[in-house]
Amino acid sequence: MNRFTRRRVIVLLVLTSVLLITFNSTSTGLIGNTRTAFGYVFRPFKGATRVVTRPVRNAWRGVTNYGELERDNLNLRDQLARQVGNAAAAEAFVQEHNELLKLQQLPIGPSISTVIAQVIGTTPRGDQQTVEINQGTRRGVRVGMPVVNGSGLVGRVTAVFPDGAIVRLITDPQFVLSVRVTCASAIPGIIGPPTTTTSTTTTIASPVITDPVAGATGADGTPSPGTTSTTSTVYNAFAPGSTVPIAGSGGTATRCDRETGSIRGRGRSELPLIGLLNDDAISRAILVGDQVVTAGGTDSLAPPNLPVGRVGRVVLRRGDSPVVEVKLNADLAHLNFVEVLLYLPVSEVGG
Amino acid sequence: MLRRPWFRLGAVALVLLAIQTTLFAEMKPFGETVDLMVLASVATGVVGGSQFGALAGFIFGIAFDLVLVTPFGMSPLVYGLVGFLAGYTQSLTFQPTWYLHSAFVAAGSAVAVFGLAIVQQIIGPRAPLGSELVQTAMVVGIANGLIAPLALPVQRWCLGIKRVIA
Repeated sequence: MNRFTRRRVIVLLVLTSVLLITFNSTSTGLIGNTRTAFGYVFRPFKGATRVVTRPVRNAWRGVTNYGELERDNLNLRDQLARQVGNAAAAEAFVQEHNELLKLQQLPIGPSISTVIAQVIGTTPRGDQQTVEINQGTRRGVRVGMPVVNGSGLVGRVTAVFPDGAIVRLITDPQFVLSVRVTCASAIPGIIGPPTTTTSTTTTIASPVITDPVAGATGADGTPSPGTTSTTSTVYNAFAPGSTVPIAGSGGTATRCDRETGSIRGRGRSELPLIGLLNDDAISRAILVGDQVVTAGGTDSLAPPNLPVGRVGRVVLRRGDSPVVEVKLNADLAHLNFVEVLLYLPVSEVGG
Repeated sequence: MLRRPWFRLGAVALVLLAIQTTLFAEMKPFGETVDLMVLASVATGVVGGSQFGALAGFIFGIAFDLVLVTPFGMSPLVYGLVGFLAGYTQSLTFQPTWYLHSAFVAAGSAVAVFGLAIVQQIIGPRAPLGSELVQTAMVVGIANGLIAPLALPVQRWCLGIKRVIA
């Protein structure tokens, strides 16, 4: 092969690729449709390969995950035992809460239909964070719908087929969603700011009310057999509406107003970041442990108040809004069953 | 038609894509995803030279991008370049042995991991570049280097090249 041919090949390759990348950024519809069409054609091959390679996958899992599975199994049994008690207590609280809302003539909350799906595949390359689920358009799943599990938001549907869909996880660098930071103290049971005081009393035969988040049940999270824990958490300094000192400024700000920003994924090894829209005293009062929920709104792809995670770190920047790292509630590395919320933004429904 | 290299490369791309998106999406040594598509691109370059390497990389990259959600065109660019590079580097060596072929595949695969990260930085979305990238490159490189003895005969078959044993 002579030099000219080599040079021509490489120039042609680079130019075609750059053209495709440019086309991708300007005309996402065509690329998206091509991908969807290929997905339809490719799914039978993929399904057959999944069946054929199952023994190899199982063998691999058996070899690499045996110890972890055994540990997880024991931990889950412990957690289940605790959850049974907590669920009963929580049910009573929810009922009481709804009754109060009724009394105050407030809406109980949006009733959104969901579709339960199982995760059947993970990301095929390390630079994207997606999972594949086994429910698609036949069950009403559409592109853009939010996906949650028991802990909170997991991601949203990015491609959909008749019997399956691809979910882009929150950690994917292309994931962006508007969220709201609310103070932890607004919600009982959430870890509070550093000055929070927690007192734990161990009694016998008293009602079981353990704090699942604060970990008040002990170092290993397991209460001793025959005893129950009653936890009372006091959020004295940073209650909603109270003032807090702002780091570096010497001033104070009111806590627990709405601080809205957009959360953006940064890959599997980095925590997602919230870039806050405003550089004001309120956003500078955000503390580690504050809760992050979806902001909702007419254009948002997720309904409001879906739990996302908690503030893991706050980076204050001089002359700019702070950057907030979010510890996600959902364990994205071990997803099995998830729920797709059949939710469409108000702007899309036309309401 | 069945004997044409492009038809064979396309067929192999589909088979590898199916394996990549099912088996290798779950088999993750040290938590990293092994990339069979870059393995095939580099292996084609090693056995067929830089021109075939570039074109095979382009085909495998297009096939992979059709199932990914990353910006379209990123994979053909990087895979084509590493396929070209592998073929070019291989052409500079005198009578390379099988383990040298494996080493080329390993190095090419590792370079592709860095290449993808760099292109992603340029065209966005921007994922942080960190030590994790080095680990990914090492795992992908070593795994592909180990699988290379299986991939090289397949790519020779694709291109209709018979192995010359000296």
